[in-house]
Amino acid sequence: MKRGVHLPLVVLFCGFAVLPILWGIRTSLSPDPGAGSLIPWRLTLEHYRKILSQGFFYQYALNSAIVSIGSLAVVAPLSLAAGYSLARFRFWGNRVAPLLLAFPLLPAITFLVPLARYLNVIGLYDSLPALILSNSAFCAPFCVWMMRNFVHTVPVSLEEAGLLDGCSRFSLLWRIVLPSALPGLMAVAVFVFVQVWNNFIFAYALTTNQSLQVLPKAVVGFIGSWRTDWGGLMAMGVLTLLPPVIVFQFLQKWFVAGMYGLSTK
Amino acid sequence: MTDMPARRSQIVPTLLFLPAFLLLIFFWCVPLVPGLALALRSPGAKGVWPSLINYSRLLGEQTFRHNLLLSLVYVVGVVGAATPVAYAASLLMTRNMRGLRWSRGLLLIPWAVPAVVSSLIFRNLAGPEMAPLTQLYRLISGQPNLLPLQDSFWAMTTVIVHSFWRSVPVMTLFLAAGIATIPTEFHEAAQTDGATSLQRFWHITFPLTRMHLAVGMLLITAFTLQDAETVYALTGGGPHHGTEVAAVRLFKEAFDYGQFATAAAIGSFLLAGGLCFMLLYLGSFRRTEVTL
Repeated sequence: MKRGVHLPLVVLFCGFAVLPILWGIRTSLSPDPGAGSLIPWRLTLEHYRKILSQGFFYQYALNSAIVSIGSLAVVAPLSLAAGYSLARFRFWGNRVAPLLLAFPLLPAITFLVPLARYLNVIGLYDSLPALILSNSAFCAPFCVWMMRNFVHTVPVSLEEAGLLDGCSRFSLLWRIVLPSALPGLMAVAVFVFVQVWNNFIFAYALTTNQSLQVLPKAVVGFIGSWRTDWGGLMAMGVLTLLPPVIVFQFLQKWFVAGMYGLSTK
Repeated sequence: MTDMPARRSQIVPTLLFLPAFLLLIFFWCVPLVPGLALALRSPGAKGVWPSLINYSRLLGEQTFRHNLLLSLVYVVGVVGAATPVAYAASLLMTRNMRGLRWSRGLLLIPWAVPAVVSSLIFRNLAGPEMAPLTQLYRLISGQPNLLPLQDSFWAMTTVIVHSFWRSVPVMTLFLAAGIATIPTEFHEAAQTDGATSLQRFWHITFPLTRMHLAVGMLLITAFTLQDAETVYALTGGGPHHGTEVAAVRLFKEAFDYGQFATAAAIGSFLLAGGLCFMLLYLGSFRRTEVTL
């Protein structure tokens, strides 16, 4: 193929990816989304003002942040430790790991009903920790796999030098492995934050309390009650999608590198 | 794989691995057994156990057979549409081009958007008012008054288009990662031998990324098969069960109607379906494995 063919194709693909989002933003800024032209000539921030002037939004955003960051705090150390052990040692975990890593390929929704009952038994049902742990378990297999691949690309010689200098195993992990695995952890962080922030299923299935709502659940709730208030719904949607999209845009380099299993140069 | 002084000690790796292992066991394996057992309990306060009544009732029900059929249509539609497009996009992405860095960020945006929000946007795009998808559908179908979300066929089309839009970036990234592992020498050698780019794709890129393709398709399949939230937010399963895939049926039975035993039975159908697809992809990959 000639070089000239590519640019229009790239633009086409990008347009395909971005246009629906732009439509959402357009709707959220139109004074009367139902009528008028494709491109609204009069813009309003009224829909945003309406949402941001109500307390519930901040409560839900805070819940979303707690669950996302909490899950990150659980998954990052777990996946670093497990990924490191799988990459550097030969032990029973190597035989079990492929099985565990296949879990995300099973329909997770199957587990929801028993999971809800089971959380009820251990007294975690309808709480933010329930969401943190479920989301963590959902993200963990992929993150362990990503960290394992990443540790593979870090030269062993550094650790050997550390061992010779008398480092203990754990200070080795802390002082030598952690700094060199940082790009891998960034990839994990992006993945977990985006996945958990966007998760609706667990929030819907495992919490009922109004004050524990996270933003995606609130969005679905509003579809029922706001019905035709498309401006308001879309403003709520745009506010919900901003954090993960911004995080992703800033850190996508790390995430893509993590997917490639390579270190960024 | 290196094994440093590791061979003598199983304790260190076990300690490192255990937290993740326990989390996965407690949240994936432990609920599975009572979950499947639940499906064997007949409904009512004094449920009989074990009983196949949930299964026989579901299978005897026309609605449920339709749920299963829609799930199949959903998976085949999304995977069938997303795979070739993602392949093309990944070939494009792995070229060294100026401006690729920013375009890659844009290309991957659909993955970062919450599914319920993008469902909402597509609900609006196919809405009753002056909406782009509605206009497009009216043009294609020749029905000037078509209301897409009131029509089973066009509602299901919208659900598939939306998931296609979400799936392409993930699949693209996955395939691009596969393509990036191919040593450039292979292409250079083929080029010196006068192979066209199509030949190089067919004899080098495609065979060497077959594994990535299989796993990518598997990821999208699993994702689509269990996807209840898209349909729930986009159409609510309507009109008249017209988009009610099995995952949404499960979701409604469990969390809207409290019919846990029925939901668990539907869950085991999904589980079986997921395993079938897994065997299908990995099996067809293994059969056609190539050596270079």
